Amino acid sequence: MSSSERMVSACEPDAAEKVAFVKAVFKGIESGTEAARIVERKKQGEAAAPQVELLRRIPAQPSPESQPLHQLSASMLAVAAEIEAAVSDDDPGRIDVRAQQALMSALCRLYAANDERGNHFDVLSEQTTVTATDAMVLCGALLKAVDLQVFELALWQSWSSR
Amino acid sequence: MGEQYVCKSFEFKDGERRIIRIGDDEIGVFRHEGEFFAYSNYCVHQGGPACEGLIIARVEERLRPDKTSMGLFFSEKDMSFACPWHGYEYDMRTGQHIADRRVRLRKYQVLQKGEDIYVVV
Ligand code: FES
Repeated sequence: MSSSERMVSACEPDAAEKVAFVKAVFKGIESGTEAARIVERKKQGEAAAPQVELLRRIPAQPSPESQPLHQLSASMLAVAAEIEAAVSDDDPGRIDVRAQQALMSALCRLYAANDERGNHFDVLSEQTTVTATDAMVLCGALLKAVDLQVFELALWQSWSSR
Repeated sequence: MGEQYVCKSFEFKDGERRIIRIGDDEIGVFRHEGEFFAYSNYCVHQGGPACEGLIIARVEERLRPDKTSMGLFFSEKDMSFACPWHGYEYDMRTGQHIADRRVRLRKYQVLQKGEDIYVVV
C-alpha cells in the first residue's frame, strides 16, 4: 500500500459508521426536535437570524407565604382560623373563657415583648376582619383589666413619644 | 428577525426571570402568574439593567367614600419591577413607568407554541 492510500484509509470512516450515516440520511430529521426547527427556519430564509444567548437566570423572589413556618406559628394560625370560624358561626361561647384569657394574655405579652425589642409591625394584617368597634371594645377591656384610665394611656403615650 | 426560541415553558418557573441577548438587544423575559412578558433590559432613565431589580407590589392609596385617606397599601393585583440603579418602576404587564405612562420600556411579544417559548424581535 502506497503512503497516499494509507492516508485515505486513515481518514475514511469505517463500515459501521457509513451504514449509520446512510440510515440517518434516509430516516431524515425527526419532527419536534431542535434540528427540525433549525431546518424550518432555514427554509423560511431565517438562517442568518441571531442566536439567543442566555445571560442570566434570576430565580423567583421568595414570598413571605413561601417561607416555612415554625411549628408554633403554624399551630397559632390554625387556632386563629378556628376562632374566626366560631365567631362567624355566631358561636363564640364554644371557646372556653379560660382558653380565651390565656390566649389574650399571651398575645398581649408577645406583642409588648416584640415592641420592646424594636420589632415593630402592624398589629393587624391587611386582611383583618376586626372592626373599629371590636378594637374599641378590646382596648377598653384591656385598660380596665390593668386598672388604667384612658387619660393615663394618653399621658404615657405623650411622655414616651409613642 | 422573527421568532427566537428561548426555552421550554417547563424550564421557566413562575416568578423567574431570564436575561437574554438576541443580536444587539438585551431582553428581560418574565414569567408572572403563568404569563410571559418581555422587555428591553435598557432602562429609559440612564440605561441601567431595568429588568433585574426587585419585583414589588404597586403601592396605592386607598380612599374612603368622602375621599379621606385610609393610608398606603400594597396592591394585591398590580405588580411592578424596579430598575436597580435609581428605582424607576415599571408595570409588569405593560412596561410603562408607573408614575408617567408616556415613559415605557420597549415591549417584545412572547409566543408560546406548545411547550416552546419564543420572543419576537
Ligand atoms: S438607570 Fe434605571 S432608574 Fe436610573
